[in-house]
Amino acid sequence: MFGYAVADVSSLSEQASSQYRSVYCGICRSIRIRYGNASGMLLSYDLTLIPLLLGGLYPAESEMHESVCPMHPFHPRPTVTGSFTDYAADMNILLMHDKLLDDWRDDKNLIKFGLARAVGRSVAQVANRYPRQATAIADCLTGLAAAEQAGDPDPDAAGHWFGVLMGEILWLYQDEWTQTLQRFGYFLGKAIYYMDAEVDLQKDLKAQRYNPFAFVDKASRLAAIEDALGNAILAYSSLPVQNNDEILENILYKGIWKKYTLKHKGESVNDKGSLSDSGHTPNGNRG
Amino acid sequence: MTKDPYQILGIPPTATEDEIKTAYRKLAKKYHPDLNPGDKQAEEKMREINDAYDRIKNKEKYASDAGYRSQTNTGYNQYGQYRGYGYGNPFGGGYAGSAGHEQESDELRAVFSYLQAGYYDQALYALSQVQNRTPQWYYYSAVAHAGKGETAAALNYARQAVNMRPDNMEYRALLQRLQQNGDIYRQQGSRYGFPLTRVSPLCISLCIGEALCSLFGRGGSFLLPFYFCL
Repeated sequence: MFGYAVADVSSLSEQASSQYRSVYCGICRSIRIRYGNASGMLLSYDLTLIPLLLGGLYPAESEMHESVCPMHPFHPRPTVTGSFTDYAADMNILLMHDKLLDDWRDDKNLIKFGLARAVGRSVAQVANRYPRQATAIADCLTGLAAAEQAGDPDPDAAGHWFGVLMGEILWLYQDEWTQTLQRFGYFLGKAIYYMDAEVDLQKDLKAQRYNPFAFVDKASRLAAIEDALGNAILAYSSLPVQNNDEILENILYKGIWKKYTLKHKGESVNDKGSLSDSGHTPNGNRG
Repeated sequence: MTKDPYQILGIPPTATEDEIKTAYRKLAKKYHPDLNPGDKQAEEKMREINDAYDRIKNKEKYASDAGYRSQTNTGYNQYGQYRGYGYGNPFGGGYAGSAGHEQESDELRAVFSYLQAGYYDQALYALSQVQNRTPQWYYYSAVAHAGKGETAAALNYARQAVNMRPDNMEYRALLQRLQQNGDIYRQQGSRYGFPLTRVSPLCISLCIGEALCSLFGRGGSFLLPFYFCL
């Protein structure tokens, strides 16, 4: 479920793409400082969404610094710091921990188990600081696992839980935007869950693994993804986001299709030319 | 105000599932709005019967079914705010008569009553008991899922209904309605390379107008579509 809430950097303006990078650097820095250098390895680009969105909504809480890091020791880079990058770093720790344990269960990769153990103590710390989010993540992963195990043919059963998870980690303050952020997160989470299902469909069917789209035809699958994204966009447009608009829109309209586009690159030629060169069209097979 | 549901259905509390179902069907047939057009009393009675049946069924379901669905629906009430992002009920409010539907079985008539009352879980349960999957079955399944906010499933069923009966305007209208948010997404994302293949520009403006109306309440629903055409 990672690698979907990312921007398509090639189509960002120079300014936006450097802002995007500095937010990423900010989360990475926050993780390394508070949880050790090794934890920086676990960073996912997806969580940049949190400081981008919350920083856009509450602009006063972010600062810009220059900092160096192990990856770029000699060239200081602009880095966004503040409560939202710290928060994203914490959520990253929580989610990565679960993902590592999940991967370990799936493929018995010892490195992943070791990493999970290494961040174990930090996880308890974060869970203490953000009990609501930690409980929500645990509840949602339980709900998700139950829906997957039951093999529910209705995609919404599992999608719902990933939506709730996103909805809960995307809001931080109880204020007039809480509900809209929840709604935005809910549908974005659903969209990500469906996108992942779509991208992995053939693989899952072959391995006889659960896939929520196993009984859904292609047109309906894409319609489900677009419906979730449409709902997310409607919620997003009622948020007075003052900064990062370009990056957030890029994520929602373009970046989120990146893995899908990559997977369908070879097919684009056969599609009656309805697909553009970039291959970025989710609806080529629609009649 | 809450009468004993068993009393309403005229059965003892010890009644078996079959007895409950039979009693419900008998009453539903008698008071179904289709057979009593315009009769407010029958409508009220039908609602009462549905409610009673719902309460009995739910009691059973929640008492005995340790299945994950009931767990996920009742066990995590703190996430209740995430339910009800549905598309609303096309049968709610005014009665959207099913007189024109091709020979509808008793089972589907019961489903219709549930849908009308907004009892989507009951409707889905009743649907799951039906063997014969007619286009109407797919249509009702779509409505029930849409009512629960389960749009992915709703889209899938609505599309199958339309595929089986491409000329049915009711089916098509539902599918179109379910696709309206996706249409907004594609339309607004067109500058990111989304070609518009499915809907005409006019329809898009209508769809966006409608969607915005649903955001702002019903007030401007007549004006907004025209505004977006300009």
